[in-house]
Amino acid sequence: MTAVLAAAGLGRRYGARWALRDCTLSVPAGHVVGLVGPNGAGKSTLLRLAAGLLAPTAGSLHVLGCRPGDPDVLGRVGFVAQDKPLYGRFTVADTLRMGGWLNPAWDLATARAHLDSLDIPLGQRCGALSGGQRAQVALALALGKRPDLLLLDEPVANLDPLARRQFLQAMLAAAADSGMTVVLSSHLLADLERSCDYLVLLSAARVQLCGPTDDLLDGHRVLTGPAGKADAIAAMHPVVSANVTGRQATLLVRPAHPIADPAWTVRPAALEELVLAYMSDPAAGAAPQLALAAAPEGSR
Amino acid sequence: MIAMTWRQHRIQLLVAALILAGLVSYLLIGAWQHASYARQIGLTSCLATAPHPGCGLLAGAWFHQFGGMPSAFTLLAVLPLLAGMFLGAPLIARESESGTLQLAWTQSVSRQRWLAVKLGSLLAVIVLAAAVVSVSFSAWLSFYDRLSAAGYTDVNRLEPPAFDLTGVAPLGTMLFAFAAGTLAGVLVRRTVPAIAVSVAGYFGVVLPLDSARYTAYLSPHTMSGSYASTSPFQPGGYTLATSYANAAGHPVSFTALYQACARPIGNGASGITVSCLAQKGFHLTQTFQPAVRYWPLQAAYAGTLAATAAILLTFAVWWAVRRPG
Repeated sequence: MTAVLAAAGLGRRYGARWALRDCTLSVPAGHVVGLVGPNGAGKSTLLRLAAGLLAPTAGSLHVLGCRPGDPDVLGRVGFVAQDKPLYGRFTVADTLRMGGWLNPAWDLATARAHLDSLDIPLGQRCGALSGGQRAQVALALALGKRPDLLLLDEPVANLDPLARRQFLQAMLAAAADSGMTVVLSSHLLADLERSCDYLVLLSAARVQLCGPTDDLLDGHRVLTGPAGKADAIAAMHPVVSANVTGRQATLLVRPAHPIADPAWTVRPAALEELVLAYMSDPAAGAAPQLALAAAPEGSR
Repeated sequence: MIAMTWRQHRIQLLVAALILAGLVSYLLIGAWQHASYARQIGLTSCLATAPHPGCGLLAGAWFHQFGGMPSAFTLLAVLPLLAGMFLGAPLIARESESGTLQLAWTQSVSRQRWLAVKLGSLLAVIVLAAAVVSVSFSAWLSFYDRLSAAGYTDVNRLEPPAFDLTGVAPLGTMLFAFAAGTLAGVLVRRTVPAIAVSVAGYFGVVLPLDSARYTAYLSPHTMSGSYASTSPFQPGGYTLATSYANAAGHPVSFTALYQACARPIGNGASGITVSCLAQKGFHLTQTFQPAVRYWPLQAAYAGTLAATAAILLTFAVWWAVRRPG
């Protein structure tokens, strides 16, 4: 399967600050991809680069096999920016009409159906919509393009829980119908756990994790056991994070082979646990290094 | 894309159309009044025959009715600025500010085409508006032209504000204002600061150019003569400077002429006569642009502004297309 999003050494700098650096990833088609990371990790930058709104400072990025922003690819990528910008003086109907003006392959029926199912009044000016309605109109506009790739930048960040669930449901239904790939960024892990089957973890401007959610979860184990034996585990298996309380240690590891030592209780990792462990240690990732001996008591 | 441009800018364009319609009706009604009053008092037929002294009296009556150029016309010189403030500056800035540029530039239309259609249609509107302004003012001025040609007034098209409101000058100033506004919007990305920058930029270029335009493109003619000879006054020409010299050829001020020739004319007032000035050998030197240079100067002035506008717009497009977001 070809990659819908392929980055190699991708970097973007604002002045002296790198918003995204050494980003190498490949996202196969057909997934709902969660792009996770703390604020300022480069999530928006990556999405804006993919939408063609930004040009990379370093490295390369291919979207659906083309350079982002290419006229060939513009019509195949839907993008909803973080603040869901809409023309405030346009009515919802005007906004749908605009979709037709600006997109040759515009599918009015899809966009209308999306809004009708949510009872969003077409005569309402966009400036007067609620946050949830606004997000849905922005989504409808992106869906009407019938994109192969839909990029959503923090789509539910400012929505109340009900609107959040409605938005994610609508998005998932559309993705299931059309088979498009969705990349959505969020720092709300619960939302991602429900909706994403592929995860990209960005932290401190670099990619730390990238892969199908199930594979990532399969590849990690949480070990609980005696603190004194932690170094022995660390010598054999890459440790992502360690928490030492008194004489007991809790380790998140990527086991190189099954762990049989009966001194350790082994259980699968939860997504939230996994993401938090990586987020709290920006150095962890492809080559995690951890000096347990130097870890102070009570922390990792 | 044209539909999009119209939907987005229709309010601005309708307001502009209303302002222009108001101005045009005022000017055309004025032009009609000028002509019909002149017909009524017989001035039209008088001017059609060889001018004779009687026409002066009728022209005086006409001027008594209408006066010269209203001083309010000078204020209309800021009309082009509106194109920069309300069409140019918000074009990109308002969309940057509200984030809608991210919406517009992630549809299927490339930035280049988006900019080309928007700039193209707004430029077409500006050309139309400039033509309407220029033609209406010309119509308003047409009777003044006839009186000026007959020597009854020195109101002429070379002088501001007539120069700025007729010919291709409005096109030049409007294009420049629009381009300055657009570039300011692209660079500043916020509407109100962009408007401020475009106003400053407009005056920063146009005011110096306005004071240089009568000397920089074509060197003005200089004419000297004694008051004894025919008057060196050029009907229709635009006088830039006048200086005086005494019989010995030394430059003197106008006050010196006045003191030398002041004669009481009753009621305690005093005046000077040309015969006295001629008798005492005073000379007059005038620097002026002759009336026949109206079109060359118009073309040079508007050309300078239009070329500058083209450079600014090219830079604005280049910057907007490649800009870091």
